[in-house]
Amino acid sequence: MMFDDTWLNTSSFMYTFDPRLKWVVVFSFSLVAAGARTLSCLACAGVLVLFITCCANQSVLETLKRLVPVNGMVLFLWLFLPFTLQGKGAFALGPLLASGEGIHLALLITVKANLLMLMFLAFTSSTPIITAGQALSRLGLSNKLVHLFFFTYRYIHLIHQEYQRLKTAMHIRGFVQKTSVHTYKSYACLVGMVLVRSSNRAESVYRAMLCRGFHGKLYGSGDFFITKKDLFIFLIISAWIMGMGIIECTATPF
Amino acid sequence: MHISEGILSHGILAGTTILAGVGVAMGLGSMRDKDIPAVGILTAAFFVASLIHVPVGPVSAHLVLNGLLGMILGIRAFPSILVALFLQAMLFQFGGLTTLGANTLNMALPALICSLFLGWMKKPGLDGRLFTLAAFLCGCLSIFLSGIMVGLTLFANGKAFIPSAKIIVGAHVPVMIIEGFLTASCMGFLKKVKPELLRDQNTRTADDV
Amino acid sequence: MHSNAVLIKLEGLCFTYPGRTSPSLDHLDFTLCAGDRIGLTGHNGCGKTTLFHLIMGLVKPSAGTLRIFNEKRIREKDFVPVRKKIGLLFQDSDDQLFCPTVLDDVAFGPLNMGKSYGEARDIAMAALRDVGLKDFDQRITHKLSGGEKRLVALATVLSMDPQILLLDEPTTGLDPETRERLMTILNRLDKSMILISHDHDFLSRVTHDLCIMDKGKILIN
Repeated sequence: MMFDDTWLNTSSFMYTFDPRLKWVVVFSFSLVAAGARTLSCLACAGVLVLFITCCANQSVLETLKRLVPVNGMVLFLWLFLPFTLQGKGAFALGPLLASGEGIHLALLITVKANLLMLMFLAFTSSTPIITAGQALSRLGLSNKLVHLFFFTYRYIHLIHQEYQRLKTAMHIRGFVQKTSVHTYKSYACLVGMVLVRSSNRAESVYRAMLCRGFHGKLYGSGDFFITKKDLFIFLIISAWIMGMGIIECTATPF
Repeated sequence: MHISEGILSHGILAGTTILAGVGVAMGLGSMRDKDIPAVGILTAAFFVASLIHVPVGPVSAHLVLNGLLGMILGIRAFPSILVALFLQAMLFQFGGLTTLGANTLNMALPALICSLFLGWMKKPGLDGRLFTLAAFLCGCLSIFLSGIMVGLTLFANGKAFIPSAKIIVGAHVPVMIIEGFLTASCMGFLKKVKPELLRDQNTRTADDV
Repeated sequence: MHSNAVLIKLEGLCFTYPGRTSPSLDHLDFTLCAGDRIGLTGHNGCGKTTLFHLIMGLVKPSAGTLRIFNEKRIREKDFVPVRKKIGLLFQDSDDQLFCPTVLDDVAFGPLNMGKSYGEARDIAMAALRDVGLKDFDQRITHKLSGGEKRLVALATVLSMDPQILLLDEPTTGLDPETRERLMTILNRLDKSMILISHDHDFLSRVTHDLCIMDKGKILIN
């Protein structure tokens, strides 16, 4: 199914790493790396990402595939940034003059975007979605938000199947999509029907909850244990990320 | 349009995240535990709808429908959109973690604005043509504002981003018209089939069982 | 006629869905006594599910009285204790299972009844064992098969240890093997039950009495 964590690798070290610590690592890394402007800081970030990606032991081909969306936007920016940022000319493309500064900025964005995404990928390939949510609630994220997330994730599959049944039924009756009023109207009905069914579903789910004594309180879930090994690795990674921050503050931008 | 990681500066990331955080907190505040199933399941429905690609001439665009979402959920659009974007990042790598705040704000604020300024259309007994017009506007305006906000986010990030910001705003125009049309037909459908969905959220989720 | 204690007594119950003209239930009378196992059958839309929802207080009748456990039940708060003693198995198990993992879902009822996390966990594990799904506790609910979902849903109901079970078409969509398993589980239980089904073989092997519903009324057979 398309919403399952199909590329989850359950035999890696990262999979066994406590998910709360994983979140802390990913967040703190992303915060530091997102604002990085120095080469040395980015190099350190690169080393850490390489280490963690190896620990996650994920498929290389799948990793590359999953880097496509982020690089779409990056590629789009490459079309403009070299030519719009004022600075010393690097090369000319017809009448357009690319500046060295522009190329630098585009390069910086490319490296950062990919490093951040690789770190996030190492997280997603080693953490089931439910576990990720449970860990967030254990880290103190609003319980309501986590439950909202669980409900959404729980019913996406079902609603998507309903959507596909409806769509198949349309195609069986000869529907072909084109740029036409008929197509848009049909899609509007399809979306409307999906919404109506979902809202009916929500009513039934709520009723079923009442039958089981629901009185307005949802409960947390998930128990995690931090092992000594987890803690040890976590401390090393945290020190590394802190080091990245210090380097960033002291080194000159590239 | 999702803004990817690595593009925005610390300042912009912090600012948008704080604003989105306020919206999410307000949305959660207006929600009791008993409302969570309904909001969650509707979020799932909008998530599925956002996977639908409709043809626009030679290319295709996916639906956003944040106007419709805002009309149904009001301020709850903030947590709902945050959850949907988080799932999109986890499952399909659209957007990213650090830009969750910026992307949530860019989609949820227009949704909220539409529900505030066009909320009168939910009144029962409104003239059919006026209803359709307002629904069309709701779909258009939400996408237009989202486009503008993405543009502004990039603009605030640095002058060098102005041309790309302009292109992005421009690309929203055809989508805007299609979303307007779809939102209008979809709301017409809902009004006929399940008008409760378009009723005011507070009266709808009250002790109706 | 019945020597056992009366658990549910419905008199003159009427109910019409908003926006419809013909009533779903039309002056219905019904009695369930302790130890009764009643099969309920009738054509689609004759009001069987509505009857269950009325007993659970999910919808309220337009006329008639519900006496459940010897008390009149009228308002929402009258039904709160009822729901702790009557377990309803929904037609669609996806309506019933909403938690991320199976254990969370089965423990939800006991937690609502004020049990501690540890107690709820033990109760849930026992309920899963009862339906033959011992190692399913950490499974993700939406990834279960249809038959597994039905059995987990039954476990969520049994975990609250209800006196009465209301089962709404429990065999629909089950393969013969799971159907057989369900039958064994139900026959092992010492509970009063009402079972809606179109599966006459199943009804004859699980229940003692059969009622037929038609046009919002029950014709005792």
